[in-house]
Amino acid sequence: MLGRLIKYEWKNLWKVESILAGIMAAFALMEAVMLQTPMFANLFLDNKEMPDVLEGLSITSMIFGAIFLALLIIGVLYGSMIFLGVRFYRSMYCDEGYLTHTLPVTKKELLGAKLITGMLWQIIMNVVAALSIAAIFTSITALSLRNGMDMTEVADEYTEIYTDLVDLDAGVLFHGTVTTLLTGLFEPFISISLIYGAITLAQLLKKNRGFMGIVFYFLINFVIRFVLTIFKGLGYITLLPLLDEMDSYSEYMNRSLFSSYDMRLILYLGVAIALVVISHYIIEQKLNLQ
Amino acid sequence: MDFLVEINNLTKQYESNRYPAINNVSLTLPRGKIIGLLGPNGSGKTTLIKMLNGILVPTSGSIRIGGCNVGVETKRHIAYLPDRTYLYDNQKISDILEMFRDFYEDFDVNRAMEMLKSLQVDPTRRLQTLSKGTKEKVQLILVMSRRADLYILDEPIAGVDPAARDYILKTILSNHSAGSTILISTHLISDIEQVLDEVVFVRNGSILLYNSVENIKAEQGKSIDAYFREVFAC
Repeated sequence: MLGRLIKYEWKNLWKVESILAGIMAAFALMEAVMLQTPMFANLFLDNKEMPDVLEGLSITSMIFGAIFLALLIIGVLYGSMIFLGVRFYRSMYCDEGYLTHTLPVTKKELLGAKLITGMLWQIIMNVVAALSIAAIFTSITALSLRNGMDMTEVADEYTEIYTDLVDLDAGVLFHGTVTTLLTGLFEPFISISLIYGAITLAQLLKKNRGFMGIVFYFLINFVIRFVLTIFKGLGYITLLPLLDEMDSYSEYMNRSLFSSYDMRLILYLGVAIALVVISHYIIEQKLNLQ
Repeated sequence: MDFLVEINNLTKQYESNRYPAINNVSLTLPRGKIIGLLGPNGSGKTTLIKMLNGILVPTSGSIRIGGCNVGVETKRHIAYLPDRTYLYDNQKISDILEMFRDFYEDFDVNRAMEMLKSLQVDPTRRLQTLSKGTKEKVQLILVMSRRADLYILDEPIAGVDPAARDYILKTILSNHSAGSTILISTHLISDIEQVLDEVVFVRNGSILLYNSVENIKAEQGKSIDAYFREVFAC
């Protein structure tokens, strides 16, 4: 039955989610294509012959375009999460819940189908967002190649940017990369569990359950961030005695920072798992549709 | 006697309320009967129905349906019509039919299609394009197209015009599977009493009376509607 639940959950979500993903991809593609037009492409040429006014206009447009795209991507990612949350609330705890909870399926299957479908959409949205950003970089790379650079030079440019961004020794870099990958892997589960968990927790209340679901979501995040801030501070203090053994002050800062990233992942993952368990308990033992 | 529903010492106490919504109710319902669950608003009918369907957890007591505790197995055998529209508005009727066929082994899609045809409702239409009344009828068709052991209908004729009431009652009577029990909750007794075999009177979360329509009429010398008005007079 889990497969069937996922099928119908998917059917109920795919249209809106696809539209959101489509908007993000379409604007990114449009931006990538626009960068190839003479107005912007000439900016990347060494021997550009543009009037100052036009150059200024082009740069301003490019900056605004980049800001707009960044805001759009963030907006779409949040929009997708909000839509998933609203659908979860309506299908589980509003009128639609009268059908959902009378289907001959276990509560584990019910919650599992919602989590799996939500996570899938989170992954798809993240991939589309990454591809949208990649489209911009590809367009810039194409301009660089048109400007006479070869691929090796372009690769060197990107490596330089990356090295500037992460000025780390090999051990710390490896640690940071592993933590970042794990965070990326668990992020869809964490974000969906937090949303669904907060909405489900609010079902224990007598009134304003929908609104209180939103309040609980922000409250849970606030508490986690508060605890993380304390741990971050403790991390800096704990590593302080080792400062002499480190190569540089930036290594100390980076190690401390990555320790806090580890803690962030562990804490969020722990809370997400706890919320899934609590949600299952509430649906199984405390269900009270109004 | 082979009982379909066995309720023992069932209580539901909402934390926010002083008095229990259902108070130590024990009741057994037989197979093959049409039973009216009658009581004024707030008497506990819907609370009892919700617990039978597993969408509300009792505070204490037990419910067994077909010998099983309320759960996945009982949901396979209960066709439930709540007092609200529970379908996702963005779906096509054909998608909902497919969904019911996928989840309920006893769902007869041909019967549903026939009923939709008689109502002249196009299955390719989305629910959001239908009127409230038609949506309710589609929902009734879905429920009555199942060959269930127990049909639980919560206020199926509340808030509809007399013509629609006739359609609903006709659909219920002509489509429920043989040997099944129908539990109908309502306070519009005069419209429904001619189809009932037995009635349960509910007041303040307790069972006030459970008897056959025949017995009540013989003992009281009046219709169920008149007796109800006498019992529940304010």
